[in-house]
Amino acid sequence: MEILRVENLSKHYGKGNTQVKALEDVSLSVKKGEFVAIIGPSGSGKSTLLHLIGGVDIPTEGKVYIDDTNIYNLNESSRAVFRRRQVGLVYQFYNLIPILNVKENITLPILLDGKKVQKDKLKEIVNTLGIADRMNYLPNQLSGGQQQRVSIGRALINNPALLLADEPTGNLDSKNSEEIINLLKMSNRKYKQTIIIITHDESIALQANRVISIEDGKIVKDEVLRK
Amino acid sequence: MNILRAFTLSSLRKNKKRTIVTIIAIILTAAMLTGVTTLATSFKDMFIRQAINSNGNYHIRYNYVPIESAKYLNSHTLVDKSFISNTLGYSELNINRTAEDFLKVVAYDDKGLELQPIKLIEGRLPQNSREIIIEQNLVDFLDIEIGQELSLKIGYKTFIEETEQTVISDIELQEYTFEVVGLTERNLYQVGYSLDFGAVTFFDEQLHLQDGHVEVSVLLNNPKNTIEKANKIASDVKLPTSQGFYGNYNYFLNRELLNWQGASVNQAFVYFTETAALIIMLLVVIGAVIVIYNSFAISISERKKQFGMLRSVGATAKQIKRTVYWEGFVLSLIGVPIGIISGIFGIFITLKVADSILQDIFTGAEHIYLVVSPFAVLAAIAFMVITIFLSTVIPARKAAKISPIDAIRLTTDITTSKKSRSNPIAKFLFGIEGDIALKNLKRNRKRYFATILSLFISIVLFI
Repeated sequence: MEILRVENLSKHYGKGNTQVKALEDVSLSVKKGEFVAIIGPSGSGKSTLLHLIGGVDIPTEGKVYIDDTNIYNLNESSRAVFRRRQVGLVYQFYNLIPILNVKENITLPILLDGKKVQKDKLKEIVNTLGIADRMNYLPNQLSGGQQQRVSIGRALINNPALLLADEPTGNLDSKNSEEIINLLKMSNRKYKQTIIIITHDESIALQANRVISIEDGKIVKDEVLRK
Repeated sequence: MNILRAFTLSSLRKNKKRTIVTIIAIILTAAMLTGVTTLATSFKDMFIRQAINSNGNYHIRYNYVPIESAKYLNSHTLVDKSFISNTLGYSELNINRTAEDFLKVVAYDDKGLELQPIKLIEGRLPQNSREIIIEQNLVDFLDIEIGQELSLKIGYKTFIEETEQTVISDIELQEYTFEVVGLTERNLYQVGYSLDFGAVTFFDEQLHLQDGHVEVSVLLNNPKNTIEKANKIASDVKLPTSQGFYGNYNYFLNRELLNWQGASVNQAFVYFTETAALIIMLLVVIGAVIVIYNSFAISISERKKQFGMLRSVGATAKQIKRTVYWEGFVLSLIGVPIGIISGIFGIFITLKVADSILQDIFTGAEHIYLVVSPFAVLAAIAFMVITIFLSTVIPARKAAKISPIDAIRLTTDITTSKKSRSNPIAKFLFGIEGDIALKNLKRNRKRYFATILSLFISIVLFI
């Protein structure tokens, strides 16, 4: 089952001579339950692609379908609502709200919806992530690895169609990096969670099911490693 | 509680200093606004009392009203209260105080005695037309006491050209005998600003009426559009027509009282006072908006990254906007009540001091009391709502516009578009610190401008 379809996506910055083509006519499709790594040198456009898939940026051209919804057909506020329900984002620098505690940060997408948090679901996620005893801590009281776990928890809480991770281990030591990747792999297996991860670390990319290489805003290689 | 509200509250708690500064700005604004409105209502109250004390407590006085029509005037729908009076005339007092000493004798019915500002010092009010109350200063001149009889020859003043003197005409001279039952303060409302003395008796059936006509003084339910209403009432009760000052009926208006009750016959007067108050309040609002807006703008720009993060996890622009408004609401909830109370208290102290100074300068001046009207407080609150809204609307929009991408990539480094040159004078005068300060001011001209403007307005308001 196809969960993501990208059609002729382009993103240009600036105009005329100084125009930068960050992304040029990219198309791809991702099935439910896939674990995709996007790899490429810095400035290749991989982050831009991820932001466009996540609906946090606006493309110059092209379409992005998540669960058969063209997210750029939605107006700004419906897209925000779609994003909090269907897309989980994990960033290199965690992007946690510093004045909210761990529990509030994780449940933020649900709370923004004005819905009740399902306690079982929250318990299961924090147990899996190993941060159950840190629920009332503020982000700055946690280590980098722990903060990244919180942000993964936030990304997973709404059972999103897609989990997008932008260099999730870029700011972590090797031991923590390994643990974070293992957590992502586990959620991929356990919840059939579709994951797209951006990395420039080949050893991380090789743990995915599929690796897409990007250079100068174009897909240059797309190979399936394992089914 | 809603997570975004909790988010706002905890960020307010985190930034205690700025929160307190903002609350202080709100308190000061609310205090100033309440101060202006309360001061206005207190002075208005004083001027109304002064107008009543010097001119009497009525809006319209119909002259030469047939006695039968008086009750129709009283029951007219536009009329709140009315009373009957009748000027008996003047009596010459041969007390040699000045060349012309006259006593003006007026009769009031019970409502007139109640409404008119008669200040009894001793004794009681007259209960029939054989009783009279007189000004206390007459006691010495006439050598009379409460309980004693006073015989008066009452007639009308005439001016004799040959001798250039005013005398009481012999025609229609009536003799009355009254019992003095009370002593009053000098009644300016009755005699106007003349040197005449005043005496008041009771208006009853037995009193001789000049061919069955009286004066009827009327207080309107709503004094606005006085002339129009005065004419309508007169025509409704079919008063006899005569060429009057305001139309076809014989009446006059208590213009001073009407002025202070905001129903000036001369509308320019009302506009002037209202506009003056409005301009002061607008100045306060402008000054406050600049200060409070800056505080919010800084608060928002400091949390730019957080708003972007909220956006990236799916907060809508509307939700972000609401958090900023919520912030304004919370701060107002604390600041406005304190501001209103301290504003009222401040005016209370000011009026106490002003009153004692006024009493020292003008003996017998009307006292000024603090009057807190619900309207004044509501007006201050309304202006406060406008102030907070104006201060938050732009920061709210800015916050809502922050895109998740901005937040993710955010670098809040100081950037200068141009290389700013050092000013040698500043460097010489204030050293390197002065130089850096000046460069910093140049870097952010907008904020510099706002600071100057708010300082300017504060100084203007202070003066």
